[in-house]
Amino acid sequence: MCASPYRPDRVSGFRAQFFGSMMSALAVHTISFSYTQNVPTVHDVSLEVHTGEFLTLVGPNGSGKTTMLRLLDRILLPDRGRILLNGKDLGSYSRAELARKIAFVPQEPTPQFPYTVAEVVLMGRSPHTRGSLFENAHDREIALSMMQLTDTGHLAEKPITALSGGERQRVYIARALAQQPEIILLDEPNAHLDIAHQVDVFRILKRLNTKSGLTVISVSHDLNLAASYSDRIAILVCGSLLAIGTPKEVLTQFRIREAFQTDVLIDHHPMNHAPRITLVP
Amino acid sequence: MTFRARHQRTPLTAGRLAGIVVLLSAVLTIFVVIGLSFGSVGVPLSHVFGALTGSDAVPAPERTIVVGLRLPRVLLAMIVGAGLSVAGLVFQALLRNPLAEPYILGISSGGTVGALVALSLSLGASVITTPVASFVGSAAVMLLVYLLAHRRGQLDTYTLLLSGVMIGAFFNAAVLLIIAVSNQEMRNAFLWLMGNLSNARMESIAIVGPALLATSIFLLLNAKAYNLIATGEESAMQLGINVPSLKRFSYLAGSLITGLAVSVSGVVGFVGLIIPHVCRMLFGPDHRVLLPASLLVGASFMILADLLARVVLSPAEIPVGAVTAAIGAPLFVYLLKRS
Repeated sequence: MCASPYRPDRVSGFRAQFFGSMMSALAVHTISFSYTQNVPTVHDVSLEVHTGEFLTLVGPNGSGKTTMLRLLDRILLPDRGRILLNGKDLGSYSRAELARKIAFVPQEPTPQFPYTVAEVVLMGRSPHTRGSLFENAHDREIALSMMQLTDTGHLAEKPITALSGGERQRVYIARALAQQPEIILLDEPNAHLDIAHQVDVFRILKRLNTKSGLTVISVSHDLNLAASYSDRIAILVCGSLLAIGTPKEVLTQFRIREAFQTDVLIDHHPMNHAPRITLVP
Repeated sequence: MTFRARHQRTPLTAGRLAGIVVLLSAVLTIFVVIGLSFGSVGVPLSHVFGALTGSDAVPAPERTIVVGLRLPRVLLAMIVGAGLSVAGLVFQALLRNPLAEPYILGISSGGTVGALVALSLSLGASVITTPVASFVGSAAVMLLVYLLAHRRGQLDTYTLLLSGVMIGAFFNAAVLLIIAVSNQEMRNAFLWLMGNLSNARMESIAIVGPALLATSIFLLLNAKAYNLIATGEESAMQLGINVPSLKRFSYLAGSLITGLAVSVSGVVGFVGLIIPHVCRMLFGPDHRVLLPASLLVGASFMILADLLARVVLSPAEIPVGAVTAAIGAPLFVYLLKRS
């Protein structure tokens, strides 16, 4: 638990300055948020997310990663500080405008009613089809292609309540992609996925990221996947930003010990030379 | 708490919705005719049509029975059945709980107390003041139950249902108390509040019917938003729904419909549970279908339930609320076991 707000002496990463001239999709200025008084969940965090960037938030349980994502989609409002989306205050967008720009893949959605997979994915079109009671052929086409992309096409007519956690996770990713957002926020997208689908999901996100310039902000506990796919990694500890930078800059033995209080071995992935973290048994 | 749809479905199209609405309207029409024809005295079908068109070939007593006695009653049954079903459906979507229903949540009892207070204070007991007082009572209970069941931003299912049942019990006690201290004349006036449709009057139907239809149409315009909110409030926000304003509007509309229904029929329980459940089994969970379907099936069901209430112990009548409870209570237990 975090007794007092964690105050890192310095935020590392020269890339932050290097990217400084680029367009920022989301600019977070010294935001703080607490669920209960005097116990900040997010404390004085500032960071910029660049358009077309793949950013992963890592950190121990309870470090404020999910809260951070919810703040970025205005599900929660910061107590202090502000967030800019494409240079405009996040609060100046209507809910529908926001849903056309930012999509959110929640962590553990528990469905109550048996909507079919196709119906759920089509719900992703709703920010674009407001004012009409039905989706058109174009919406169906998008939903279909997103289902194929996430390997959920064969589940189209199955009720969402009958799916496994991993299948459901992919359906919610398909729904988020059907929103055709500029930014996608994912809360542990690989939590329920088998290893094949973990790699699949990250590959899909990376492809959309490089080909269509989709900005990806993901929370993950898998440091190795984060290292392989992210442009930058931000480490949150007790609601404060400990470090942000490229995987090589951030995923060091020193930083990981500082953040997780655990020792790891770090070498390099034989294929892409990203840092490879091995737990010490 | 999950429901399994009977059939696999493809997403909704305008054509399929239109087909379902036409089919269910035809079913409703058949039930209307049955409701007009059957009863303690049978009226042949040809005479029913004759009476409705004002034909002189139909004997005067039969015309009086069909147009004067049964037509208001059938219309009232339609209004109450449709209203309670739609209100139940909306509460279920908002609370993400297929057990939510105006009676279970205590909202109907709140409406009864509202109506009783208006009658006791003899605010004219007009066709306007009773529904308004009833609505105020319903809305107050809705708010109370909602606040009681809300903990740390989460709605707790069992707290919700128990709060509703307890508030309902409390208000039912209040109703009994008010009746006990009233004089005989007032007591008779209150009897209809115990859930029956024998007090069907065209004046109140002319007010409650259009108000209910208008509210239902507004709800239908939000049908897509109910699909989103039924998957979760945060999820709905992330998909572009202004959740706080949708909730305010919908709770108000649901309480209004319940209040209107209660003001003309008293407490008729479980209709808002049975009908959405049956419609979900038949047509799946898409609210664009469920709203019009529940409205039409609810209207048909209530005509049938009222017919049973009239003929089972004929010439005596049983309250229609007894018929709906006899069907609804076992269904509630079944759904609770499965959840």
